[in-house]
Amino acid sequence: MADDDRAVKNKGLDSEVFHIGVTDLSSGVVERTRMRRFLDFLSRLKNPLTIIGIVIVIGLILAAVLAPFIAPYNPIKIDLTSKNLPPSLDHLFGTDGFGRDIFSRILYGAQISLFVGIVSVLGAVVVGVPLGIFSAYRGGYIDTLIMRIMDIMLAFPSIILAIAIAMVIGAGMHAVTIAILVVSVPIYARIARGSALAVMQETYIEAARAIGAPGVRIIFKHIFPNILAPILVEMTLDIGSAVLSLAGLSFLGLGAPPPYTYDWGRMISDYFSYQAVTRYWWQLTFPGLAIVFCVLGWNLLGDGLRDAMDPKLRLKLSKAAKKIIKDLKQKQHALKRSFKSNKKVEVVN
Amino acid sequence: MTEPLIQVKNLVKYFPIYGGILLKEIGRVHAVDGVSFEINKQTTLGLVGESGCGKTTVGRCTIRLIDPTSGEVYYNGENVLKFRGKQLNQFRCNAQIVFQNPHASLNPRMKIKDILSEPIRIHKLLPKNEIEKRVLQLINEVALEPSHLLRYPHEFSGGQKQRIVIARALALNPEFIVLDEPTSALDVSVQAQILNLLMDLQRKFKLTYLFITHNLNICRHISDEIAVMYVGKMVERASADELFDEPLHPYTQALLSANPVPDPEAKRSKIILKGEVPSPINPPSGCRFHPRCPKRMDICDKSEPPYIQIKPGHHVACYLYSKNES
Repeated sequence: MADDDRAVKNKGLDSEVFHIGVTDLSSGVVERTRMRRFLDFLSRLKNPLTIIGIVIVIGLILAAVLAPFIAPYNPIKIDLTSKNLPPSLDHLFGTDGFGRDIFSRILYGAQISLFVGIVSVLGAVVVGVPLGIFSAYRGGYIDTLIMRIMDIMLAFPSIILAIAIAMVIGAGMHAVTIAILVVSVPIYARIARGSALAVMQETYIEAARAIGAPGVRIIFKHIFPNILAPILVEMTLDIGSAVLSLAGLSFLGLGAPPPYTYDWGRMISDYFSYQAVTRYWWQLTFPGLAIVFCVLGWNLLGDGLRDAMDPKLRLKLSKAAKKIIKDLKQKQHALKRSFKSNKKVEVVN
Repeated sequence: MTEPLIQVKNLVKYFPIYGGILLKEIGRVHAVDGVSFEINKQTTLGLVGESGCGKTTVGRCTIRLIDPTSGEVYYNGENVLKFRGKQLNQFRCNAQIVFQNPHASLNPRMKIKDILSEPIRIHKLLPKNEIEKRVLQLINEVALEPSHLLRYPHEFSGGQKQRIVIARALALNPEFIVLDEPTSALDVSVQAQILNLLMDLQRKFKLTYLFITHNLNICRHISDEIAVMYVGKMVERASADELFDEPLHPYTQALLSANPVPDPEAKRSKIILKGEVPSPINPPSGCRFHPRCPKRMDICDKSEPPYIQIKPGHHVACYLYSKNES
């Protein structure tokens, strides 16, 4: 109200005042509100599990980026004088049958896992999201056609697909990446379509059509930014499962060719033997733990993001409000108890 | 009188209802069923009626946001429904719409600056360096501050948002604006500001309005002519004062008698209608008002009354006034 009144008074502004208004704003107010919103968002991530997730993911990224600098040994250098050594200060996670340092290999393995995970998920988003929005935007039989194709793709097992792709373009990281990418496209197409259908009910989409915005603009400027949140969450969760798929596929030998076999899944398959299980426990345990922590980290981060972006969960209660709610609950409880006891008394009478 | 800017002839819009396992069409909502009117240049036609009577559908068909089932819409003598490509783009520049709910009609992820410059960018009306100037002019026109340009829609009140929506509609320099209940989501004092703003803008930019509302007092205040709709049909159209002073159709009479008058001493007899508004899926035969009409005659449920001119500028569709023709 007050704002409206002031606005009416300012109706006769000249250009000089305009100028001052604009510079004033670009320097301070907007920055502050944007900063505040960002901090607000961060504070919503303050769940202990989410923080664990963030720490793990940051740790993974650091490990991948800094691997050449912090890895104590060359991950592919064979040293037969120090084979099958148990964990020690020299070799934190021990060594394998060729004398390679497992700790260094796991650090380098993080590079592969993160690269494949992020690239395949980004690729799937780039293909799947526009398909999904387009499908929702056009509707009718085109929508049905696209979604049925997605259903067919969803029914296709990623391992068979990866083997097929590897047959065509040769085994290696790119084959695995493409296989995971193709398999996760329908997931994004579906999410994008569902969210886009909801957004398209909003009046601002109709307003955009009224000002003559072409379809491409409506899809990318008006629908896409408004369905970003669920897609972002799904991406974070999906990087975890992409890492898992990668481990599975490279366990089957579809990953990078030797000597670059320091992918976590490939390590497990290479080291897997009777002796490893009975005597060299560190050879299987540490790559396995790396996979577990990587997937866990991304999933925790994804869950946290989902909660933080859910507008219904945004309600942040002050201490006073919490106290009031607690009091109310207690009173309710007391009431219930008294009600129950009253009833008993009646029955007795 | 000047020639009409907008001419709507026999507009019909049915919405199909799909049902069953095979999603076959099992019925139709007769949202608009044969509506004709024209709006003269620089005048306002008020369109009133109960909710669900097809007012909004008429507005959307008029600027071709949805394609009508049949009928014709003329803009400056040209058939809007035949526009394709460039012509349609040109028409989008000339005919704009302001929606009912200002909170939903602004994209929450765009700054006000981008919202206002978007239509200019789409139609490439101005070179890039002049867009900013135009946006500042627009924001000034609707009495907001330039500092608001860098904010997002959620930082504004309802009245301010509606001003932004109006500024966006003005961005393309339109001649004709459909105002689809622009004030019904606002509180009363803000309503007055928005209405006055709209009337100022009409004078300044020589605008023509189609004002859709269910508030009779607002409608009388802003409109030159008023048209009354009932279940997809237009029942009466007259100049604003004439319609209020001398309503002819029984429905209009009932509607006006229900309108609150700000005078506790005033004596007025309310006409209480019986029954409910019929469903537009299965509208009654003959005159759509006959099941509730206090002055029903035998002919009313047999055939539809013609929509005829009784006096200069006063049209009505009722057998009470066209007995000789029946």
